[in-house]
Amino acid sequence: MTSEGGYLALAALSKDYGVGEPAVDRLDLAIDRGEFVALLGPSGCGKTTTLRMIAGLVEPTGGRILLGGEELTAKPVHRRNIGMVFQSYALFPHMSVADNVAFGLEMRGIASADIRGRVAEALALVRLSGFEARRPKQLSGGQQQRVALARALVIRPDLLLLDEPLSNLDAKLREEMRGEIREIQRRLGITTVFVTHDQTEALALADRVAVMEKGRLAQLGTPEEVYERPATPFVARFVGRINSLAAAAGSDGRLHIGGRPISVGETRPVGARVTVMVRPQHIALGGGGLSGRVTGLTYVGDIVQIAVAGEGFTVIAERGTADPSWRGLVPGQDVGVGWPASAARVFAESDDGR
Amino acid sequence: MADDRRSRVGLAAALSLPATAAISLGFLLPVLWLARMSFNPVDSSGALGQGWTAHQYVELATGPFYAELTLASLKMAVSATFFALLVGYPIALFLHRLESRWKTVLVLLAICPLLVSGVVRAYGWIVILGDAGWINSMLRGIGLIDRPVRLVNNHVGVTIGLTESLLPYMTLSLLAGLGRLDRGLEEAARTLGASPLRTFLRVTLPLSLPAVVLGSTLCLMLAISAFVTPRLLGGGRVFLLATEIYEQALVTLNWPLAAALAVAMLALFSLVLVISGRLQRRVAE
Repeated sequence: MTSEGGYLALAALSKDYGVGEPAVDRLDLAIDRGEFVALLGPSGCGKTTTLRMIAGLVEPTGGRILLGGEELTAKPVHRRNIGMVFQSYALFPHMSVADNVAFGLEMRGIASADIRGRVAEALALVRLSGFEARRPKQLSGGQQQRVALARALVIRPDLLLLDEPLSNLDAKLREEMRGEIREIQRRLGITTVFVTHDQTEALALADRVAVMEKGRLAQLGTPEEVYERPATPFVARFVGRINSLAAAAGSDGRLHIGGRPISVGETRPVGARVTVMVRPQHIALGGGGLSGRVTGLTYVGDIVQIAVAGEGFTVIAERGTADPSWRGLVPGQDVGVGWPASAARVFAESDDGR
Repeated sequence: MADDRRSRVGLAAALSLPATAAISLGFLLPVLWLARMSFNPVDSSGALGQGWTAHQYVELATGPFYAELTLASLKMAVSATFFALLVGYPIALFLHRLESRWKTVLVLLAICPLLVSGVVRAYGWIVILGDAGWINSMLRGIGLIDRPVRLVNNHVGVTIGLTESLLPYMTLSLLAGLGRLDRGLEEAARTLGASPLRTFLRVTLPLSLPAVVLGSTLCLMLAISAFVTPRLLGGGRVFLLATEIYEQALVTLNWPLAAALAVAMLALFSLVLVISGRLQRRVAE
């Protein structure tokens, strides 16, 4: 095993299609055995290309892939022993559910008596016992998804890759499958890489989240780290909702918005221009150093969003609707705006690639 | 609701009226007329007589020549279709997978032989395959042969010519039928441990069978009814159903016999269609 560690290690992995920016640009990533890592990012950030390079379906133009210390980069797809669940499920339409699941075992030359047992076991794992003889098109989306999962798991892969597996399901089923995938992954202890553009999905499922931007790793951390201490303005905006406020450092080094000092835990050189970012649930209304006026309330059911504008800033505060403090607020009303210093993230304006 | 539906059915019927009329007048009536003629007697002078006789059909059924003719036609059609499939399948698969913006251009290239008349193409083949043609000159030039290999005026020439003329049709129908084949399925097979060859045999090929049946059916029918290519490249030495119909209708002027042969060919087509329909249902499973 390499010294930098990691069961799955990507070292300077790159894919350049030769047009425009590289799809994946010198990506370094180390994933521990049994870990569940989500590759999160907007479309075109290179997350799917990365997954397909790990699977062997896309040839890297640079860098290396190591699995359990073994060089994977030049190995053909069918010798990698990696289970993959495709976004479209990619179930073979001309085979029964049982034959779909058995396919990988057949390719490994396993005796047919053993195949039957392992197929039954895998289908039981995804709660689809009794569906052996069905054709994929006779199954619902969620059931097809489970067959795809069983088919990928039955070969006892060294690594499980999931390519946006939940994006074709409706919201309710998605949440249910999310729990199920996590449960199965924990039970089998299988190292898993999961690609998604849905930050809720990534935070809910993964041990660690790798946020990607323009083919590069923007931040790798636990869901809490990525959400609470985003490394870049991009990560802050992509993972969850956040307010961005332009501020400047005054003569004492303290940060000001519209000439009024704000509470952040740091000072900057005189004249420095920065972006202050605060999550909407941390915005306090009523106290604080800034004054603004309520411009609108949006009631979304579990939360209410309160838009406030003042001199040099607009923010959105969020309150749980169970919290009575927002009731009585009306548009046009003057309120004080503040936040705890620990809740504010300050980025140099040049970091903000927006 | 029911009214709405009835009126929509009525509209559909009304809209299909022109096509129905065109098919009835342009196809069904002539075929019925042909069928009627196949029962006309021919008197000893060769003139078309009035009344009904089954003489032509008796001749077809009993004359060994016609059985041989049918068999030769079938053999020729099957082998030309087979070769067209062999050549067309990789082309269609390649075009299906192509994600380049040149795809349209390449598809057009594959079907552009259709822009040239069959007669011209047949003469083109004579230039290439003849005793003094390119292939024989080349083989002689490198000293492989000293007498020309007979490549035209026989079954070999007709098979080559037919294969080439079927190729655009085969490629196009394969391409149309390959739509069901999703690249993701082949990738899934590969990640599950299937080598490229096994992926082809277990996934690509089975899923393309409906396209194969479709293309083969079309080409079989075209090959059975083809008459320009067999006549020109066969040099009058290759006897098939289609060339015999031409012979009887325009040379011997025995129209009733030509009509009976044409009816027999239609029956052959129906048989091909029935078999293809069965196969289609089986492979679409």
